[in-house]
Amino acid sequence: MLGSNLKILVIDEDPGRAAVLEGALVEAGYTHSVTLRTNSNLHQRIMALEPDVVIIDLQNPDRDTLESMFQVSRAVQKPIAMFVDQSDDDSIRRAVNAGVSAYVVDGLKKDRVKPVVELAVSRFESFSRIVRERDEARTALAERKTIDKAKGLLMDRRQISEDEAYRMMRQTAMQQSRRLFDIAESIITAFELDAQLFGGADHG
Amino acid sequence: MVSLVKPMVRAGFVALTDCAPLVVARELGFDERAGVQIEPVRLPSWSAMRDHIAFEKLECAHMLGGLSLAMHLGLSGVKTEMVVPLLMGRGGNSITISKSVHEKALEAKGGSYIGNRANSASLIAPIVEGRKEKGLPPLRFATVHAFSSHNYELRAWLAHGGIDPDKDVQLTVVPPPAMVGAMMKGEIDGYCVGEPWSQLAVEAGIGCIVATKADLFPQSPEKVLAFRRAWVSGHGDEAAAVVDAVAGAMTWASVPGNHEDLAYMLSRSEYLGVDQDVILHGLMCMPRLTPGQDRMPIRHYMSFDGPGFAYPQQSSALWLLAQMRRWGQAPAGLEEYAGKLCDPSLIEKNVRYSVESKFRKDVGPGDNAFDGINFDGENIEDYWRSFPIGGALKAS
Repeated sequence: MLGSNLKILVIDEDPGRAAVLEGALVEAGYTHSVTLRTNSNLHQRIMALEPDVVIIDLQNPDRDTLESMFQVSRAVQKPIAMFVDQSDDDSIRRAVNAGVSAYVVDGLKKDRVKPVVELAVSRFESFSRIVRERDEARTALAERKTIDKAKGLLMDRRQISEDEAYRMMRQTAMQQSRRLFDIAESIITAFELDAQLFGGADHG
Repeated sequence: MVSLVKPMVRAGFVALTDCAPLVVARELGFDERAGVQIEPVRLPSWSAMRDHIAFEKLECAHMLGGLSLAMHLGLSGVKTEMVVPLLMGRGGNSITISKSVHEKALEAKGGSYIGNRANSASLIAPIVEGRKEKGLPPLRFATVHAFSSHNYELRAWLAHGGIDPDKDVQLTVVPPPAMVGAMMKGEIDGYCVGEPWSQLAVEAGIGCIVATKADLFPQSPEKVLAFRRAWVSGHGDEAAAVVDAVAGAMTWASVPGNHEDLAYMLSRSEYLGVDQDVILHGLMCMPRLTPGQDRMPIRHYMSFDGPGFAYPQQSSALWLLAQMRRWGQAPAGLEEYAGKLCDPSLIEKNVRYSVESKFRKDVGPGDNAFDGINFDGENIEDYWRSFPIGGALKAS
């Protein structure tokens, strides 16, 4: 398979993402890939491995250390340059948005490196989509709980039905053009404050 | 109704005390009064900053002068034409060595060091030599980026003490906010970094400041306000407004009575996330150099206002290019193109500036340099070749 003998080093602090990318690389036939999670012994590891391609998160602070090693020829045999296909604006933009940076051994042919970078970009993209969806789901769940709690407080204190409590909150939200969740938070705060100021006992 | 929304300009910064002008411009509304909205974006390291500028994720940044020049010349990352319309002050950097190395160095000197800070590399020279004789690994020093004033200051300081930075010690790069941690873990024996990361090592009791930028190259460029030139070409008014806002913020930040407010502002987690007193001591030019000892005044330890501190002279770019030449980072013959980095045209259109001391043009970047070698922007080759280490001895 083309490029399968490339030695690829993945440096990523996020173990989940690193695992996703490593799996994808092996599946694509890049069996010589190695993943590092931290900067411990970065120097020795790189010297021992002599990678052809290094994939690292654009925001990773270790990049500066890595770049300085590449500039010192003693540490790395072959000079390494940042890989950017300047003829291809779209792929630069995609890589930057996905947070991928790649370094390759000088002189390595573009068509051998590009599939690796593209693979990394697509895995970074799908990983951040999964994380985003997970976070959104968590937020939605937390909001749901807050709304239910506010509804319960209203039902209890005002002796009204669930439907009435919900309608009351909906109506207030619409009148004030605020989110239902914000109204729910205000209700909870108001009840808590009330309990603190006037003593919770009277109010149940 | 007139639109109150001002055009948004994304400005990168690294968590350092000298990002203050950008923060002040935003927090105190200098930006909106000038007609723009500055959105400060914090980045974890200088290479991330460089790439965010190059790939158009930012319009401008609080940046290492050297790195903006390296981008401009295509020496770091993707070649990107840059322009620097404003320098963002002076000083702020210190050379810190670990407490254990400091103690060993003083022991060898009989318990105390008498001499000026600019010569303090002579303190560690016996240790460097001793480790070589014993076959021990060399001392490790970190700077914040290969193309940083910190790298040039550390190298010049070492060389002045007879230590060849390329042969006698090991140099590495660590982003500023990670510096104290790296020393704590014993990964490095010393470093050169901007505030508050020098004061923090002293307050943590793990490091001693042995020299400051003010002792070495007091007039040399430090951080700059750097733009992608292509953006400035299409957004001249916005760029001028950003310069206006940041220059105004520099004046505010240099007033001693504002330092406590400024330290508080910067201490917040979205900016530096460091205790405000640690930041304040640097801003006041009253740093503590050794754990447990009194703080002491150092003139222009860091400053946003002083003669010529903001004016973007071509010779500032040439001074940086000369350092790159000295340490083998740049080929010959780039003077003319390098000079184009610094462009005073934006500030010269603004009459308010002409009366301010920080826009004086008669102060050179090499003035009062500790090594006594005269810097001449017209002839940088002779300048750098006249150094015994990093100069004449090296071919090319």
